[in-house]
Amino acid sequence: MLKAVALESAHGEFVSLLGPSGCGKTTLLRIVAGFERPDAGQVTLNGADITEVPAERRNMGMVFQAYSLFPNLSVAQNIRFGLRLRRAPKARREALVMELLDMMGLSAYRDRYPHQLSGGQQQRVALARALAIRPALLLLDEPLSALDAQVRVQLREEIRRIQRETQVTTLLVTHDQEEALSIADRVAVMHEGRVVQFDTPATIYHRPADAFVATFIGASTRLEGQVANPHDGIVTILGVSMPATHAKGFAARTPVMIFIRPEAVRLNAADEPGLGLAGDVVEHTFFGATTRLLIVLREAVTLMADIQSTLAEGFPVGSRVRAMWPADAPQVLRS
Amino acid sequence: MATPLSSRLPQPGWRAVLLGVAGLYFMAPLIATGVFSLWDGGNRYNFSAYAQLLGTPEFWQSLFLSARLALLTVLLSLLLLVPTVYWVQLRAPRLRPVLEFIAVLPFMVPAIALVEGLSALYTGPAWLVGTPDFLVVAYVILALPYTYRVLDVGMRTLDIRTLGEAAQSLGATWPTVMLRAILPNLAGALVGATLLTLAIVMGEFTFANILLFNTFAVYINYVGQSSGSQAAALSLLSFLMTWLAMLGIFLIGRRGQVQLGGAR
Repeated sequence: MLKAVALESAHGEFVSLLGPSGCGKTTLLRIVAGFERPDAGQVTLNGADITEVPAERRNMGMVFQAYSLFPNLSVAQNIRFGLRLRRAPKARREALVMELLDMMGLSAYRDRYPHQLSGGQQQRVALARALAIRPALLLLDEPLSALDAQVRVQLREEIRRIQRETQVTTLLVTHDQEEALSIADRVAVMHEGRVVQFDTPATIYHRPADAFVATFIGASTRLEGQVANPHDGIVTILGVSMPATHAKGFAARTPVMIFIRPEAVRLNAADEPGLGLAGDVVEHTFFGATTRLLIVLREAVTLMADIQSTLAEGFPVGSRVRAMWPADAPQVLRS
Repeated sequence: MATPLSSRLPQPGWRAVLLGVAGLYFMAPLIATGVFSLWDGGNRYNFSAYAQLLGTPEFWQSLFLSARLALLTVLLSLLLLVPTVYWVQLRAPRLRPVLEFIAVLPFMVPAIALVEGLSALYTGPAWLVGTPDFLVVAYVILALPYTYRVLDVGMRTLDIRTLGEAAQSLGATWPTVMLRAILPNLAGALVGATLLTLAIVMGEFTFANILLFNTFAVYINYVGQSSGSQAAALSLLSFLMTWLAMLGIFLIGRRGQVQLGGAR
């Protein structure tokens, strides 16, 4: 169920709706498309209220998660479908079909039928079909989720390129945060029917608005602490003073949550001089270029730290380390 | 350890024997009927039974009547069921068990009870109740288990919700969605439902006989009581029509069956 949703996107903008399963993002997209009616609220397009306008008159192209091409029509006929309904002149229709086939790299497949195409090709045709009607808004309902990883990344980049070329305002629903962050101009993070943050991918990642966004987007360690010196941006965590620029807005002794990304954590051997949270390395997880270390601090609090794999041998399991981070790295939120 | 399937199947020699026995079981009565239909007394064998049959006006009248009733039944069944199944799948999936139950009722209620019920209940206009067209009402009910099942499976295989919404987002109104996005992709199911209904109506006897309409099945029964060879010839012709209908299902169904998308 959707509760508090207020989204507005500019012309030509690429917006992602991101959230876990059941958060309401698909419902929101279907309301925008006209397939569901909201109990309350308004959907406006270019300033006009379209809440009561039926889906077929909204001029919104949609690409679905499930393969949605008409199985009895060829690639070219699928792309032509919306144009024929609009009674576009034949010459213009054909020129547009050719242009879209070319744009999608599908010219060689124009006479093939959907079952003769791969999943990635089918979604490209679906995208071409949606773009053919020159939509006021392009809606993408998890269009890449049925594809394998390699094709997904490739098609994701193509979608972004095509969106930039056509400048069509686009709304993408996804539960894949990498997809949302890499493709969108702005991301709306949804949780339990609400938009909890709507901002650029970088802001969402570095300055999450609440604990849900901080833990849902990427990996981070949540630490409990207290603002020690708001003027200098110092917090106390497990009795240790740590830098946190974003604590500056809080009053002294305010209990806070400190979220720190693993890649922001810097490690030193515990016997080296310096400040930081001391702990024991208990686990290594190899990710290729980086290795994630789990460090148990005092009171069994666990901290994640990603370091270059080439340096990981310097901090073997069982070693005592000291963790530090740049002052502007942690996000500080009221407890 | 699991036994490979190939080692559990009968050996090739046994397979041939089994196929032969099964073939004989099914073919022997047909061959015997065929031979009997050609028998013209004594040692004479010819096509006179067929010639007499095809030269009889009642044969053609009953055949055309049944064909007309079959076509009307197909039309009414599809007009009623296509939108209903579509609507239940999209908008009221909770009603599906109710529809399933209704669809199997004709299997549970004996034909004689159905025809009695129809006679008692339907006191409609003379242009319907007084003509063979009245049978169409009963035949739609009789064909319901088959037509419903075929359409239900066809629509479930197709993901009609996504197809319908895709067409709608491209500007199609509901009639256009049905005519241009759903029905063309249901060709296999529609042909299947049509041919099954044709086969049922062409062979239906109880309703027509009790309500005193001279359909093809009633005519077969009548001929059977008056001429043995002609009855055998008629039975074979009837079989032939059924076979053609089945062949039609196989061929058109195979050609019209839409292959759904998916990664190759």
